[in-house]
Amino acid sequence: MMSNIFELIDQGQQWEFHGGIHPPARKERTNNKAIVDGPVSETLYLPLSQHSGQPAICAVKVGDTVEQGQIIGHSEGFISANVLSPINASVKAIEDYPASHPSGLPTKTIVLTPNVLPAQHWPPLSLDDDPQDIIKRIKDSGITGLGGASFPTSVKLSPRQNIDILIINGAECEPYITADDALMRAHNEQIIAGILVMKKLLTPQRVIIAIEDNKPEAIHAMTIAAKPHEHIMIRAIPTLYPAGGEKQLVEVITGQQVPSGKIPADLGIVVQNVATSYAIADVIFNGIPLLSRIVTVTGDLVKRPGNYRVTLGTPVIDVLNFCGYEPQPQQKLIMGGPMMGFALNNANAPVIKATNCIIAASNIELPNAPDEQNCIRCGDCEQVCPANLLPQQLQWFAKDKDHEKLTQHNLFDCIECGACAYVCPSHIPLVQYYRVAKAEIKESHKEQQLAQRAKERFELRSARLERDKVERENRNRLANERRQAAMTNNNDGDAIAAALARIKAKKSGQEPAAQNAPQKPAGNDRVAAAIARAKAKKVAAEKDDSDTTAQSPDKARVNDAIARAKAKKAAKLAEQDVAQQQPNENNEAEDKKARIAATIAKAKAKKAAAQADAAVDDNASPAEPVIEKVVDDAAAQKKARIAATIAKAKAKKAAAQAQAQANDAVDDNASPAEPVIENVVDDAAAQKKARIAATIAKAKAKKAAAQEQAQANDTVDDNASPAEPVIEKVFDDAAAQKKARIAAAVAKAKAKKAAAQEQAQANDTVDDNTSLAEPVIEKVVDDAAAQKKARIAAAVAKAKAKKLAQQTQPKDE
Amino acid sequence: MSLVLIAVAVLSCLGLIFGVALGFASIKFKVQEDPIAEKIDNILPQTQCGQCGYPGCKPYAEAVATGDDITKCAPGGQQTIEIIAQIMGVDVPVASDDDVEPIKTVAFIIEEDCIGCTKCIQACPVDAILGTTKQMHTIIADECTGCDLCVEPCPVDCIEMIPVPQKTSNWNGQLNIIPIKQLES
Repeated sequence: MMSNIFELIDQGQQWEFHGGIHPPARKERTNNKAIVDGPVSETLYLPLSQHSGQPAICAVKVGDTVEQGQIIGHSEGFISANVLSPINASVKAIEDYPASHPSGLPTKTIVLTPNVLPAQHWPPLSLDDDPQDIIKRIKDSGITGLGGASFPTSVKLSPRQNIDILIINGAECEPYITADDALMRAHNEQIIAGILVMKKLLTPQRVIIAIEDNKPEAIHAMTIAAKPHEHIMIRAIPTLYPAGGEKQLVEVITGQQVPSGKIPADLGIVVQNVATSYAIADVIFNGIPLLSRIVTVTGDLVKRPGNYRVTLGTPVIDVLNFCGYEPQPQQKLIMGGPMMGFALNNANAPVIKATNCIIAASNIELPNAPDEQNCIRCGDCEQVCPANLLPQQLQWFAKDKDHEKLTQHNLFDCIECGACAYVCPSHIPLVQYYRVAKAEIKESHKEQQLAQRAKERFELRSARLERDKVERENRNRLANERRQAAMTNNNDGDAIAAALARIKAKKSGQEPAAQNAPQKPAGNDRVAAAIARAKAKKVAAEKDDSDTTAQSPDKARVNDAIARAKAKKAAKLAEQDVAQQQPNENNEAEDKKARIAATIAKAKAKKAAAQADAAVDDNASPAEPVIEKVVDDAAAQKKARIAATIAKAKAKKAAAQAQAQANDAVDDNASPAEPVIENVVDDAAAQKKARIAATIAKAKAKKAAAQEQAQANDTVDDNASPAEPVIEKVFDDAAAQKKARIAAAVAKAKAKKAAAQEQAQANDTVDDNTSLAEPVIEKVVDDAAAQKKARIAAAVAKAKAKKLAQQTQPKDE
Repeated sequence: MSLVLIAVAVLSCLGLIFGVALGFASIKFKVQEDPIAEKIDNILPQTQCGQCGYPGCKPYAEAVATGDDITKCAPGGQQTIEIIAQIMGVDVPVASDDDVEPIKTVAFIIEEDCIGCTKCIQACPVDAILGTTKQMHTIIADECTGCDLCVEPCPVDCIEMIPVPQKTSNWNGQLNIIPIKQLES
């Protein structure tokens, strides 16, 4: 098929595209003008987006000195182009500046101020160089299609398809513009040189230069230049707008239509502008990259219209002033041709790579379009459409924003040539509708893609959160299982069970406690020991903290430490120790009574202590032996020994003091406990009860002693106070109260025992006065039936003690 | 009599044959139609903003498919409502005057004010916020759907919703947005 076409082309056959119009050319102002160097501007503005595709990435910073031809914006992505500095300059700013774009919106722009420095050129290449090097050089030089679309040339010159035909576009079909015409007349040789470079890169079988037949001089010049190269053909094509359109030119030259959505390269055809060819030759053979371009400056408002070589980045106003610009109200300032160009809304916008023409026309030369009328369905637009579209239908759909229908009617094949609007009798700005519709469709496509991505991200995030949740639950579950397994291994579960069993046993009240005691597992002991330790620590801490109560903190601390150590040891020895318990443990009933009694005693002791006067520290010492004693007694009961110690310590200390006082101060009232105890102990049957009673008695005795001392003995009252710190030790800490209570309950039995021992010791000291305590003891002991009452009383007493402790706390503090 | 029997037999046979044929066709040529919720979900803007009262676009799509009000998607605007109405086969509700077309925004963190609390990160439905504890956070503007959800949790109010600026790349072709400037005369 291609060979067929070649044959026809060789025979000089030309085709026609559909439609097309004949607008007034108005090229006569400039088509005989030679190329003149344009103005040297004081400031150049180089937008980073002068081409189709991605904007370049800024490669300089403010204050940098750049050389002519230095890349100041690197191409980003495949379809992108470098931005080069056209002069030796310094970077003045990088800012948003009005774009050379229909919207006039600001875009990122590098602002340069020229320096006077010798120009430096790139080393020239030759046709013998590696094609890759040539492509790279073209890419570096930032050359884009100079016909108007500004598509990066290096991309177009490295197609994936085999290229059969290279078409050089010199049609320049739009009115007013003569830049390519001037270039072809003046630089025909260099254009041919550029064509040879492209031919080397693309290896086409035919190279055809297409020039509209309204440029006879250009055709002549090009024919002369192309003569030595047989494979380069010159074709004069009929003047018909838009013959210079890429797809239209392909159809005119080869008779082939580029299918919708395809590019000419898909047919094996590449179309390049003559100015692009010139720029390629410039950078390859002269080492001068794309730093300037030929711009036609025309219109009835410039005195010296013509074709100027303008440095890229020069503000349009500078170019116009250079040409003798005479501004007028209601004038038009158009960048590009009158058909496809756009009105500039800011004359400071820079000349960019795509700027082939600047028209400054008065309202007379280019009048405003009349008001839009309704479409009369004349169908003229369809007749002139070079893309074989249905402009009238598209217009309806565009007004309806029916994107689906617009796409179905191939809106994106529209080249926006403006032929339809040109012929429209109703002056409908059809192209404007299409541009808006295209922008909307593109935007909605983009939004759809974004929505899709947002959806994906949302779903991924949701999945991730779900996963995290499951993992967390799994972790928690595993941890729970581990903990449970550990508990089972430690027999802690059994411990709890055992505790429950004990409680039950207590309730029943009749079963022997002896069975429970030895069976107590180690874990329970440990717990109790831990509680005791904690309490001991707290006590120690409190001692440290309070100046008034802990007057011999060192001793107390040492004692605590000893107590703790002993408690630990005792806890370890739990099993054997339990087995060796004292006989008094055997009787559960007695045990209970003992406990109750102890509670009462404790409460009373507390009361006594609370009543006691401010203390002198001499008496810290009496507590010591008591503690030691109790601790030594660890063999009896492991659990909460320390707690018990503290609880008991009160009582015992008080007792010891009382005794000491009795002995030393010869106070009759202080000593009465001893004989009573003696009596009770003698009574073998009531041994335990007696012990309890003894405790109570002792406590009362102490109280009495304390009261008496407080009242009577200002000199002796040193001794009365020491109970206070002990009480505080236990009860100050409200948080530990419950623990203390439990521990105390367990330990009370032992307290009694200790008390008994003490009494035994105390018995050695003889004291006659027994009358005070006896009746009390008798009351308690004899009345076996009153056991329950006693228990209740004990509970009440305990509660009162607690309350008292709580009340005293704030006072103390 | 035999005539009647023959007629009954023939009709029964015909009925049986057609029944089998129809049954076969209904299974074999069953049209797998896009579930309507899926269709609606594809139309929704996927900001996941929750302004409709549902925890995301998909739940709302499902709710609409089962008969919920179709006008709850604020970011989608009138256009979305019209498309949903088309899918659901209902009339497009008349837009009230105070319904303004939503302006697309992106979140912006005033970075010097950010204390690095990560609260906005937890709120973002599309993971468009970068940062970690006690480090400054920042928005990935390309991924931000402008849903507003990060503004509320910020304890120092350092998140602003700024409208997406119009650039030459996203210019909608409307010439009326071009600032008018009187050229020197």
